[in-house]
Amino acid sequence: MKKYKNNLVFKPTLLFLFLFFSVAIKSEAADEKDTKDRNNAEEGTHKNFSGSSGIQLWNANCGRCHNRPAPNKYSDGQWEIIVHHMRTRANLTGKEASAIGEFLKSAN
Amino acid sequence: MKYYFFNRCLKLKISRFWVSLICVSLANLVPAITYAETSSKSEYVTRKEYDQLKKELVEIKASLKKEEKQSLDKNDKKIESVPTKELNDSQSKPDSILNRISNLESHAEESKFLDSHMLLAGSASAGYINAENQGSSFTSKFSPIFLWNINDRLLFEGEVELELSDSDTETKLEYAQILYSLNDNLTIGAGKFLSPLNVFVERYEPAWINKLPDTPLAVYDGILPESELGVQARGGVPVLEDMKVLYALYVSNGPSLNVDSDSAGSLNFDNFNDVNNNKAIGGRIGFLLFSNLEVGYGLEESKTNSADGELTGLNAFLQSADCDYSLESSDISGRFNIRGQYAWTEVGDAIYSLPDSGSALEFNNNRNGGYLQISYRPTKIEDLKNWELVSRIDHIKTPTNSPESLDENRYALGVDYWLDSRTLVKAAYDFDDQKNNPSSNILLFQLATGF
Repeated sequence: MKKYKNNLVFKPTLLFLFLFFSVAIKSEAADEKDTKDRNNAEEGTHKNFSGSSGIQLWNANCGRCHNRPAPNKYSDGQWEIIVHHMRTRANLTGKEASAIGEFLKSAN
Repeated sequence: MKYYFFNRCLKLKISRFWVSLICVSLANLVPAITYAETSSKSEYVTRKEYDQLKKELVEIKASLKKEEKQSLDKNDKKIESVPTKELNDSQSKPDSILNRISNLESHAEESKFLDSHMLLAGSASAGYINAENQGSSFTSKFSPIFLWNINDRLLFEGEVELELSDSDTETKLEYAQILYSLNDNLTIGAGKFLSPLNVFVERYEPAWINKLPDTPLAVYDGILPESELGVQARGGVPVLEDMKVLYALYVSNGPSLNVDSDSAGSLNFDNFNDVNNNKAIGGRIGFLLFSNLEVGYGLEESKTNSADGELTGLNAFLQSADCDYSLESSDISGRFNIRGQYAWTEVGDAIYSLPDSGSALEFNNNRNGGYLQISYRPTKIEDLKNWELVSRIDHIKTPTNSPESLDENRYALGVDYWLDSRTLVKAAYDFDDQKNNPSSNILLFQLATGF
């Protein structure tokens, strides 16, 4: 009787705990991804195909020849023109130019 | 007496429990019943109350009507006393406001369009130069850049350079080209463009980017072209995780050959009306490693003629090697940069008949030269972060027997103070060492800005 009673309590409890932690762990992973995506969007860390983010590309390419003006020096439209002009000068790929442009517009 | 009832119940064999239950129930029910009776009684009014309410309602209605009539009369009087013009104006005000809003919206749309399509950029500088044996002078230069973003793939860019020289204003079209981005790795350009062979002119020439008030030897002076008139294809291709290949290929008018007494044997790259049907073909390939080290090599080959047609079909072969390394780290408390370029040209053998003297010159027409520049800016040291130290070594060598015979070394030391990210004050001293001509040390100051 005692064993029967224990089975009635123990197994459902175990099942419940298992389900609870499964859901909790899955939610935590989803939150972390969302946080990363949100941070990426906020920082403009848009990835290009070689894995470098917009801010990394901006640091690496735009600082090689000259000082980098602050992102808030120009409007979104002006940054589009400047990045298009600099793409030729610095031999950037289209994806790199796009990633840099998105970062600058998100940070201005 | 009370026990009687219980005893009777006992006799009737009704348990105490049920009796208690019934009593409790009755005790709860009585107030409920009483409340219900009270509630049902309040649903109705007496005849007297009804008549009173009706009378009050009629009086309120009459009073409201009176007020309304008086209010209407007042408004009519007001309108009659207002001049017609003012009455019409007040009625048209909402229309004028709507018109103004509509105009403002149109202006905003136009501004937004221009903001994302057209930009005026460029650089300007004012300087002072004091050269030994040559005197001193103030200088000024203005180079506006016009950018027109036709769409995501098409761009027009053009730069005009306005510089004071002697008693004139020199106006020069630095470049004017239309660029079309074919895909991620290829952009086509046509027009006048900065020579991909000449990395200094293409990247470092603007006054706010060049860290010294003057430009290096050899990257001008007839050894390397500043610009090309033709078509180019260029782009970048990542090949490894930490390496990218940068390329540029072009076909252009190519240089013509100078044959005048002052510059015979040198190449004239401002060949805007091509002196022959032969076109120059050239290009540059660069390797960008770890995002901060670039090495490149470029060449150009053409057949060159003199403008007067006396000398034709001479082979002109240009080569250039360049490098650039930057490091910004807290270990060095700032930013360090080293960059350089070396160029050498070979022009076919020819005999030059000098018109002024009538003599004939023949020489091995090979020229070479270059520069190496080092700079350091302590960006991590708060009190010194706006200062930058610069040093450059220049060299140029041209044929000994040529009219422009040069064998010159120059050592420049400079210090910059950055007022903001694109404005700086430069001070430099050039130690000049020439073998074939008098040396001329130079003191230079310059205020430069980019916009």
